[in-house]
Amino acid sequence: MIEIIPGDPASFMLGINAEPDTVHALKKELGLDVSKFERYYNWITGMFIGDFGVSYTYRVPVSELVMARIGVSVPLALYAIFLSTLIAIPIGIFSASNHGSFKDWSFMGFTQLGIAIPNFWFAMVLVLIFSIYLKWFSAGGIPGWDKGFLINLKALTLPAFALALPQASILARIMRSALIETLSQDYFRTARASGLTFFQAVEKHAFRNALIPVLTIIGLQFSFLIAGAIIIENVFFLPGIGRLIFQGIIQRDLIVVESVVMLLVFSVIIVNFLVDMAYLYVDPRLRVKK
Amino acid sequence: MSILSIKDFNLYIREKQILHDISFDLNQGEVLGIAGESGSGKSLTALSILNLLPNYSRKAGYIYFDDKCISNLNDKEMCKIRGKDISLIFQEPMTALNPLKTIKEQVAEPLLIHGNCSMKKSLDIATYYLEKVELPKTITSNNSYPHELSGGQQQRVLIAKSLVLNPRIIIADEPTTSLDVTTQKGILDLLKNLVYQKGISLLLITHDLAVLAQCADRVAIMQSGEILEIGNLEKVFKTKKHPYTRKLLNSVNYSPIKKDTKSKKVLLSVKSLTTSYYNSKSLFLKKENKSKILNDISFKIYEGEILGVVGESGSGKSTLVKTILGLQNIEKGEILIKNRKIEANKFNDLKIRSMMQVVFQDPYGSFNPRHRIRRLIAEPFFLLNTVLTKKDIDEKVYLALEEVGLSPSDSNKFIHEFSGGQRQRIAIARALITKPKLIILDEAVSSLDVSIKAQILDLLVELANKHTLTYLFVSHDLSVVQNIANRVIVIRKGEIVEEGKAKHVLSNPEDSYTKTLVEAIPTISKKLLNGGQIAN
Repeated sequence: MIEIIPGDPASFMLGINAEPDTVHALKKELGLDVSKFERYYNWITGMFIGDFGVSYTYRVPVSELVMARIGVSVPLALYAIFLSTLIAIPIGIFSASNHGSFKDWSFMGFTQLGIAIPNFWFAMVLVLIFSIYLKWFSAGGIPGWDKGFLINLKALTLPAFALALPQASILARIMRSALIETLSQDYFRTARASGLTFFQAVEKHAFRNALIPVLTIIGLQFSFLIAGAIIIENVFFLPGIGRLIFQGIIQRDLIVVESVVMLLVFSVIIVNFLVDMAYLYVDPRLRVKK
Repeated sequence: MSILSIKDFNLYIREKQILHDISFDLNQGEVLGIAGESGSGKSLTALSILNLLPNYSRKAGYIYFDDKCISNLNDKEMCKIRGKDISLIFQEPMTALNPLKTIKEQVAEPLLIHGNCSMKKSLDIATYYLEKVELPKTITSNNSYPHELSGGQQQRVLIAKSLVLNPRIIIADEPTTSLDVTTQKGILDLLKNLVYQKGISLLLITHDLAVLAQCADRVAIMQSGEILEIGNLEKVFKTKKHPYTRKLLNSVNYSPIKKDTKSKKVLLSVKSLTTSYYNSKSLFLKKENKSKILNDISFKIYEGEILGVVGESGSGKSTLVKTILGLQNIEKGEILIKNRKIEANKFNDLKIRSMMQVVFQDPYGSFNPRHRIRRLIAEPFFLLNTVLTKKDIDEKVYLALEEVGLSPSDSNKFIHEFSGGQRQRIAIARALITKPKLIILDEAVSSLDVSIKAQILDLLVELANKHTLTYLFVSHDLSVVQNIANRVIVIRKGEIVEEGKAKHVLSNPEDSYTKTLVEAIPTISKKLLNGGQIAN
């Protein structure tokens, strides 16, 4: 698909005034002179042996580019998921246990706001407050993992938080409604009738049952995180996958774009598979007895 | 000596008064039964004792446990009583257990909460009690989860859970209502024995007077939040002092008068019918895991008769209904209605479809809540070939509504505006509208209260006599079938074990399975009922 849209990497690299001969020579060097089908075949077969091709602009293997950037993107995604779960679950539990009260309504109002705010704008507000005004965090960039764990974690905090906010808002709402549902279940009443206090009963019975729909959403959110990361990584100037794909599109470095998209597809599939496996752990009804 | 005493207890939910001046005593070691129809406030009375009331409720009055007032305790103090001194067993065992935890963990839980018991010791005690409630070794020795157990077994687990801390009082709220008769008998016997052995007081809440007649020492009759009558079981049942008590007792074993039909014309014949379900159909492997639901079933329904089909859950009753309706594949055999063959999942033969209508158990779930009654009832008209004008439809709908005892003005209402009994009347009106030959009643009165049940049975028989309708009356409730059906077939594990005249089969059963079924029906003995004046 991307191959078909107008815009030729070779002519883009050499500028508008380049001689046709030079363009042709570069095309040959990049392997762009053969037919589209042949290029597609080479790309697909190459992928099986871990060869994603060579970037048009950087002139290094795509796999190398990707490997260098995974070190930023994966920790960022995990950190964001961790933060969003950490924020969402207590809010969900709190709102559900005060269901219908003013506290519940005000928290749900905040989550509505969290969903409505575009995360790049929120990211810029975070930078304004915490980097420029309070000077607690740097405004962007990452020192690199060889400089120590905590310093990198600190650099990732603002972007992860910006990424996590809308996800946490959605998750908190799901957690709340799932928990309200389980609170009206008979087994919750049974637990209360056998002498557990409200919070003991939530902890021992309702929470795990409410977790099942929440797990589904966490799995689905992973792909939103990736989409969000493309923007957030640009705002914070992080050398991650999102930034790579963005640069790839601007520079018509099609092979990079295609390969990264492919990689993201794989990772979404893998994450959803892991979520399905997590169901088995949580819900004994899904385990088949041999 | 009274162990629990309730004095002038009132309950309001959202400022609407639900319970009016409830007062009663529960004595040490006795079984007190509370009977009443749905909405009478019997469950809320139980929940009030443990202060597990819904939000927005306000209460007034006193509850004493062991001469100590517990109605003004806060939640933390109540938690020390719940499960330890007073435990509760609920109606729906299928949903009353947490699906994600093993039954042993759940039975052991009260021990961990109240008993300062180590994890291991509490699990041992749990196992002991699980054996005591007569659960099979395969369940008690493994770490079973609730979904691996049947409804009756789950109720046993809940009984075990309520027993682990040797409570002084057990409150059982409809403990057997969702269970089969044979299972019900087992559970009631178990409860009774345990209560007598340990000297526990039991507060048994049920809508089924026959169940009370079997277990209770004293009974209280409740209606719309009030206790009408309370006293010795024999005295209450014999004197029938209160008119409502009389009405309830008369509704039990209610038998409408029906014409005995002598027609020899066969309406529906089922010939050696076999159907199976395929579970775990694999996408890749051709291995089929077949379980036979109906096995070589043959019977005939004659025009104008009421044929009862009886069996426990899982016996294949519902599958039989589905197969007759053409919603389930026939593996072998055939079904003929008026010599037309019924084929599964073929909906083009409107003639066959217009000859059969069905009334299901759940009168709410079987209606689209977004449509008005007029549209709901008029729905089967598409089965007729003739095109009807709006006026025709209206007239027919009004007529059908009047026939089932509702008024034409009800046709503009929605289904949620009606009570359970009225909904079932609407379902019957819908079934009647195309003037079918055969009406299949699939547990049509099972979820109704006794007095409503009697009214619906009356209506059914009246309509059958008037329009010469044929009914296939499917039910797990033998006493109802006995009272309405002309003939009956008894199904067990997909096979017919007995067939014959209803009165005969159910009073002198020949097959051993039918015998156990009949024996398990809780009945109010004649002696109890006829002791006092005969009610009019």
